[in-house]
Amino acid sequence: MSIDLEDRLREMYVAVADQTLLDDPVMEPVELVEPVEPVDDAPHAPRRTRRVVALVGVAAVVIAALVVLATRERGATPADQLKDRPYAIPTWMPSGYGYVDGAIQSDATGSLITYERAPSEQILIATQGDLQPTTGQEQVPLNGGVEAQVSHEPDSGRWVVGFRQRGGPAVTIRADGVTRDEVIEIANGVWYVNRALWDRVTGKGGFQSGHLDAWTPPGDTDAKITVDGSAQTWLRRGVEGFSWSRGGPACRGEWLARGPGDNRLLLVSLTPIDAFEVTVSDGRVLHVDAASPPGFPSERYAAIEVDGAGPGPFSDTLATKCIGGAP
Amino acid sequence: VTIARPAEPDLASLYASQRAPMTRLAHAITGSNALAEEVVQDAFLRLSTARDVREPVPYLRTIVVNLSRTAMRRGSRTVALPHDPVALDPPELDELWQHVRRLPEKYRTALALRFYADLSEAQMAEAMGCRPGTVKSLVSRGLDMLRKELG
Repeated sequence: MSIDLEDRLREMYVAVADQTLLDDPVMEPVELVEPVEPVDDAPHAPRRTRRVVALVGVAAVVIAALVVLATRERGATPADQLKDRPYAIPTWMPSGYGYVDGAIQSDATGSLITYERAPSEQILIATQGDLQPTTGQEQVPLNGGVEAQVSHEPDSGRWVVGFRQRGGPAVTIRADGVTRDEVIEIANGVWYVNRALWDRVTGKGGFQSGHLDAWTPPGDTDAKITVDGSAQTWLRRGVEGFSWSRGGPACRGEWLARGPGDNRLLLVSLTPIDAFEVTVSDGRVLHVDAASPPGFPSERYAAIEVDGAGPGPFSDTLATKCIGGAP
Repeated sequence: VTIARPAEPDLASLYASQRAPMTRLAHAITGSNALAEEVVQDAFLRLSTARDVREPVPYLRTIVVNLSRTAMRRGSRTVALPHDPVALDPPELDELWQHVRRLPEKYRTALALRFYADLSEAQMAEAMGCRPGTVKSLVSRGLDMLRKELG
């Protein structure tokens, strides 16, 4: 009798497993709708409900708090650098926040990506190009030279940050449970993407990882700046084994040598400078124009061949300087 | 300055290989396909922020079991769990499934781990956070309750 019941249980569970359906985790386009109650009013609602409320909430935030879009340029960001990249994805999140979902508006003009650490601790990043701006409490310069409008609600601890890089979409970040420095760091780490990259990063529950984008910096090498990682684990800029993320290099050189005769030198600035100046061992000064990878308008890179390569940071053996733009 | 060689866990491959079996396990425990998907999504979120996980599959399974049990307890305190309208063939399996879904969560969990996941008592104890003797007792008691219900 007991054996029979155990066998029936095994058979039953196999049948249950056979009927378990797995939805494709790629999100369908969702349309932003009229603003209603904020997210925190429904902290224990089911996740799907919270997502809808979050979506609606961020629309309210965008409408109510979107930014005076001061675009005071310091660097040489091309005006159309972001023309085909209307969506924003964070490359860095504070500890404990996991990707929840991402949605594109039905008319494809805006995006919303949501991270969550607890039901009351969410970070939402939205792009919406056609809403009227409002004024924040504080103006904070971002790495790209634009000024973000930053508002803080002391009672809830919520931060709202709005900004627009030249040629890019308006970005609004609403963050609960983080510090001012952290929300500014999120803003500084925004990666602008096209629809294909958006779908790839937000697909598979945010665990879709790997090599997402690549770009060859100016100079005479074959080095490629890449974007790797996943929405769940951070997205990193990197080149051939090196990567950087939060608090990355303001102005730095790094040897890329992989073997004898490989004298490639990568030059990195996460602020929008105009050029790099490298002083080599015999006193010669090399001047190299800097350029931005697609989707990172405030960052500048170059890669050149220099004699005397060796492992370790460039500053250990040669001198480098960032020219122009923000310091 | 943060500049380092990447040491990222291969979550993508783990997600690809474990999402389906973990969802089936959560379905077997909770009785709800929709709830199972929510549980597994949450489990991967938690795994992604965990540190120093040497055995990711057992760790993930423990999270799935805990979240499934939490979801069932939360459901029992508020509204009825969103049981999916799944009917099994043959009818006697469907009747058994209905009885299993009415068991208290600790017995349902133990039965699913034993007869679906085919775990040893030690593995069950790890996943449920209790002693092996306890899981043995839960399985035995769960079977007794089912026999009584089935007449």
